[in-house]
Amino acid sequence: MDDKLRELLFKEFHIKSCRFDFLEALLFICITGVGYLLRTPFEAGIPSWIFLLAEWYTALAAAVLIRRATKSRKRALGTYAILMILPTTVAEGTILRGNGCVGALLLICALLFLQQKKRWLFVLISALLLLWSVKYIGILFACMVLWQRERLKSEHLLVLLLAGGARFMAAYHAWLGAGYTLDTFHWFNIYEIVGKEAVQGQLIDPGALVGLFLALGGAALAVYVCSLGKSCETDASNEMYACLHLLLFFGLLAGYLLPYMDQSYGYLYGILGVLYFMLSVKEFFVPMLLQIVVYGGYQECFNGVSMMPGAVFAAIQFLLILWLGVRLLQEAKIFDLCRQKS
Amino acid sequence: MDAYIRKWMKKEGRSELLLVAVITLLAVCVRIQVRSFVAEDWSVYWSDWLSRLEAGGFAALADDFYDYAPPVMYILYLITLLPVNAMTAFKGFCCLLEFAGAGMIAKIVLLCTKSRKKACLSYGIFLFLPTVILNAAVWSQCDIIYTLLILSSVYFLLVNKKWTGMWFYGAAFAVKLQTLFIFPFLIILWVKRKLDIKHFVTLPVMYFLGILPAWLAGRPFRELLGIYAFQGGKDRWSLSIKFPNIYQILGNNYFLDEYVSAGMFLILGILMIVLFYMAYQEIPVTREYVILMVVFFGLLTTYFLPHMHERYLYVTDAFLLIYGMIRVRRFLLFTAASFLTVVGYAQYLTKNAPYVHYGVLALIQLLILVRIGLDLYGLLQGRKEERRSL
Repeated sequence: MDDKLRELLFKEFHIKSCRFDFLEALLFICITGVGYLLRTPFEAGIPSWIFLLAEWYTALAAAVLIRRATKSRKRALGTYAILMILPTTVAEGTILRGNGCVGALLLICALLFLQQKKRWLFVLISALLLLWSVKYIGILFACMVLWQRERLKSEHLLVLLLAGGARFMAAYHAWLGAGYTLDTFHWFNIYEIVGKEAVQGQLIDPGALVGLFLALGGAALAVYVCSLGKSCETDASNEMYACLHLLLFFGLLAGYLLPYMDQSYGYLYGILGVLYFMLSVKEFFVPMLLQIVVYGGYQECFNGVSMMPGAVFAAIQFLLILWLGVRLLQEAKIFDLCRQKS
Repeated sequence: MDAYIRKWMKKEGRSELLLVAVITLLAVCVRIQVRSFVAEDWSVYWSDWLSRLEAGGFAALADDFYDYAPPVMYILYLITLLPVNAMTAFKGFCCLLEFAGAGMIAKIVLLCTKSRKKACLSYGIFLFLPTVILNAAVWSQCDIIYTLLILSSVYFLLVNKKWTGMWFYGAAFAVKLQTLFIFPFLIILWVKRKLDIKHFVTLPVMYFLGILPAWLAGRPFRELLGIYAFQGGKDRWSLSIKFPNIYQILGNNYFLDEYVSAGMFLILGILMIVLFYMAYQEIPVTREYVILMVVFFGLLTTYFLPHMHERYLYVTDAFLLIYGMIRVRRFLLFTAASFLTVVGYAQYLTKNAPYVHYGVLALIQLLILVRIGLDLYGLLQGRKEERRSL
């Protein structure tokens, strides 16, 4: 009986073109159930099916993305499983009823189009995201590098620049007149280290304004430095890895300096971190630490206080950005270039 | 005289024998010296239970005044029959088990490393672990009971005595629910054909045998079946009770009810993913692999489960010591882990808050968990690489 059960676990089934092991199907069903149950303690009744469906579809789309990039069924299933129980998705969708998963779903769909070389669809969805919120500004900088690496055409970039520029101008005017009392709202970035109380009674808040232009200037400089190197993506896996790496780095860098961001800024990067890990298993600590930092922000939002000083989380995030930046330069062989020149 | 002593010492095994004798003597001394300390748990719970047992005899077990598993209460009942101070007798009994536990650790180390020196060293280290000394001799806790049973279980499983190993595991389950922290390693052993489903029958059987006397004494059967569920719902005032886990980083005083279920579902999901990955790894089940699995699951489950107490790494620390002896480079992890847990003990016993924030301790604990996880991953991947090269 034991042997039969063990055999059943690893037995492969074919349903039309779909192949799967029994154990894979078991994990898929069980983790979907656990994902559902994980959301129930925060609800009076059953969890909202709209959010649940959006989060489930995000996990599924991400699994497809990884499957296509790695050709590995197990990694795809792993992606689905992790995203179904990711604490930040529960915090955003179930506890806060935020719409973060819509943005994440749109970006993953955009990446699926990019993977299929349907660049205009990728650009249109990305432009939509840029128009929607400033928190997706990192996509624009990542696309600049992709353009430099000839993954995108100039007309694609132009559309994205227009969308990003329009949203930025709108946000800039809104921010200046808003009179915020804080420079960050439960998102652990540079303001948790230098002080997050906004200057009141003046025409401008120097901290926030400098931070805003630092974000733009810093990202522009990073784009320039990245463009000095070479792209070495040879297959689908490498291409997607490079793309996720750029999105993570520029997204986190911009978010680290942009003022007036809230805890939901980290939601997208929590998900992208998981996809990044699936393509580069050795960098498991990126999604792990990111998850702690982002969830720390959500916790502060729910409770009003943070268990640990926000500066600790901000420092962890800074180290992560530094790591991602150094890896980016290594992969683009910038260091080799510097050595040759010197 | 000098020459005689040196000659005696040079004979094989003599120095180890001397070490064991000295360490045992010192370990007995320290336990005798601290025996009079009365911890809050003793004055609030244990002494009350003892007086009820003293007054009502065995029939008192029919009442619902205790939330520990009945086998611990039988020990308390037996203690009431002895003509000695109850606290001293209870502490003495647990200390005796500590020596047995140290012996079992030495046996496992000897089995895994074939080194008598390492075995003797591990015997001494376990007896002088601050948490071990504080647990029974000072705090009057009895974590050594189920730890000894788990150590015995793993030992017998390592020597391929499946039934004996599983009976011990079942006995440990009958004593403490915390036995389940490391349960996933048994599932992997089943997948790898080291255990059969029939062996798992020991868990309900031993649990039933454990509650049988209390049932006969008159306590309702349903209540006895649900005693662990009752335990789980007891400490709802904090998500982490001086235990360095994820709740010390993210917050342990909010969403108290919600996180109880959410934390359990989260760890269930994490374990599913980990077990799924491990089930597919085709590597031989070595002794090191088994010990590493026990340590890994012990650390992983306690890191995410809510309501963990400072004492809940007792059994994991014992196995981390064994792992540190197998892979000496990892001994530092064991040292770090045992110092992390002693902070909670110190706070409980002295009632003073520690100088280090629990969040920092939790981050260090996370590093230990990651290192052990990487060792496990390396073991799985390394073996795979070896096979490919062959």
